[in-house]
Amino acid sequence: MADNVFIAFQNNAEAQPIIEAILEDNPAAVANESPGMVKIDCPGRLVVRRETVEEKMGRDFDLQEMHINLISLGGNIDEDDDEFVIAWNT
Amino acid sequence: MTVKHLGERYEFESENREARYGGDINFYIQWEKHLLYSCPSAYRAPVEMILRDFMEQMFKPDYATHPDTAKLDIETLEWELDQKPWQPELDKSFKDNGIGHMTYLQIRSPGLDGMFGTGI
Amino acid sequence: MAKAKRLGLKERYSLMTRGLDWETTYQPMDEVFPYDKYEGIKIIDWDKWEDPFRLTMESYWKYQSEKERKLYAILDAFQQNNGQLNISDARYMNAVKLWLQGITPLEYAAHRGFAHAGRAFRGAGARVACQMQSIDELRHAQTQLHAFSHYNKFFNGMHGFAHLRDRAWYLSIPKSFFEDAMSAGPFEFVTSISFAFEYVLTNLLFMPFVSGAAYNGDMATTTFGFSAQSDESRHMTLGLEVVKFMLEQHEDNVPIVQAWLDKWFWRGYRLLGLVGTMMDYMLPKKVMSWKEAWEIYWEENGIALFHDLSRYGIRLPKYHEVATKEKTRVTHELWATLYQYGNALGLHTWVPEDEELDWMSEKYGDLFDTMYRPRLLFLREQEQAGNRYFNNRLPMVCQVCQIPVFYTEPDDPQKQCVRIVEWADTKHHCCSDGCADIFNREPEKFVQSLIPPQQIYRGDAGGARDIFEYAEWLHLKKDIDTGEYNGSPDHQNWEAWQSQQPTPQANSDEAA
Repeated sequence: MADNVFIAFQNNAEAQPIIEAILEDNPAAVANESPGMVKIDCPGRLVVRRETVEEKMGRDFDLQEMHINLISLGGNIDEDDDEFVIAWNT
Repeated sequence: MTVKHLGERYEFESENREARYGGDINFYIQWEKHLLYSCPSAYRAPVEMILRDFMEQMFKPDYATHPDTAKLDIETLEWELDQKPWQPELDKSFKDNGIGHMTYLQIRSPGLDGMFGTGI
Repeated sequence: MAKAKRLGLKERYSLMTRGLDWETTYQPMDEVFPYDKYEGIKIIDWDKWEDPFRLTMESYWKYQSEKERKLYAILDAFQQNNGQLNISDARYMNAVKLWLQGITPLEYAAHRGFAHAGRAFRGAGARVACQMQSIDELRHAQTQLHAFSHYNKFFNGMHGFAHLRDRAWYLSIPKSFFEDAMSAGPFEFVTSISFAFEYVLTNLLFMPFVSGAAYNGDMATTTFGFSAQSDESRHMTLGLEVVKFMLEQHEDNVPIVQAWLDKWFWRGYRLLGLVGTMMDYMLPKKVMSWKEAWEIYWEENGIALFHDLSRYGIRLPKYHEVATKEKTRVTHELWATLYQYGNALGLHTWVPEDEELDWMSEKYGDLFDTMYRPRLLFLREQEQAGNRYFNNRLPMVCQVCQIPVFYTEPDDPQKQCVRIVEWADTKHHCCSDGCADIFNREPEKFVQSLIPPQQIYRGDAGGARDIFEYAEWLHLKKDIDTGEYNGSPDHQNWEAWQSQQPTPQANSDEAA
């Protein structure tokens, strides 16, 4: 099985729609909560899609707004206007 | 290996060189199986100090909290100097025993193996 | 009027970070940038340097200012509402003191280090990334000092962090870590800090520990901690890109990078023992043990990263298996060390309560029950009999990581681990094979280490002759800033505040 990539957010109202969007777009993703934060692990590759986040938020969303509530991540990053991808290349 | 550097030379004296101790030495001792004292202890002492005096007047008071210290017989210790088995003469000086600057001594006390059967 | 098409993220990044520099003509480039070649790293094309977040300076300021607004709104609320009373227990504050004394100065050191690295690199992309990180690190130092300044009104030991940083034996551990990195070349510096420390290891600091701060009611630390970590994820990503950039530029770079990864993994791991000890011992309400954090953030996430790098010919860092063997021991051995040298610490130590010992038994099993629990119970008995144990004899300290040599052999938790190294007829001592290798690779560098117990014995620590005079030289007041927690002014104040007594004199320190 592929190694997990991960992304973690502050557990607050702003990050909630982002977390929901990730879990919806990545069926293999698992959210682990600990005080103040949520860490999402996913085998091999994880994508954050702007459109899904916008649906959840009900407003326009720039993927770079994620920086405000992002805590950490593990994996190679590729970002454009529509998708933010974390993946291992192996 | 050596340090990659700019310029002609990269040479420095040791910060802790013996010359900075005014004739004394800096050395270390560790009592095996007595990890209540979690690190080897560091000392500064004159090279002419007699090893027995050091053990009685400095080492034992420093280790007074351990219940084994009261029973410690320094005549029966097994010693290592710089991690090699070694037999000192207790009534000779550090210098005559070959204990020098930055020497690392270890002692083992047969029959006294610390507390709780786990070398504490 | 036709609306101009908005540029995509990749084009915006390229426009804002490329072609901003020029080839110098009055002076040769190698004279203008004298530091980015001597380490042996070969760069063919600087434009291959990528920031995967593609953050332009403009968006950087936008998001950073929003982070700051959020952070300071919370800090204001925290101060106005006497947030210091909401922490789980005043023992918790000692983790905050250690953070202020040991970690905040590192943020400032990182600010300086990245400013220097940014100046040293001739590639514009690298310079922009270092500039952002340098500003981030200054922000971290400032927000931490601001958050802690409120606690300083109520708790002891927080009055002279900068003075302590330059003098205290236990703070030479983090200080020497950064000074080793900052005195190396710019490529080693970014490998050490951005990759080995930030990517591989700081998750252990900012995730489980800050989450623990949240669990212990410390709104200030949680807020700046996670705010800092949001920058950290950018730094980590930069760290990975730096490493990939070097590895992709030239095959001759691979062994150089591998040697740095070996060195800085080990140095970072040694440093993080302090964080593990904060998690296991200094959080009254526990979130995750050091052992569990190590398993998640190193054995799972860290190793995944090295699998990814194996396609460049990079292997796992040397001695990672030793670090994993030590995961059941290191925090217990380090706490016992802090406890016994507590007369020269700017924070308090104590024996944990029974429920905490039970938690440790559950997390650490047999070894805890046979070695560390009985030792802690012995210490508690001694304390209750009015015999609080202190070791006032200075310890042997590792010539490389500067940690007192308390570690035990990787395969024998009852045997002290000491390694003797030699250079130019002088012997030195290391705590491990990892540190001995680092010494032997650059002995001329490490013979210069200023080792606090040796400094004291040479008379170079203000002439202090023993541990008590040394503590005075650190501006620490005996039993107020130092020593046992039980019965300390911090403890007494806390009890009084909890029982709604009139607030006693909050803090007995004059400014240092």
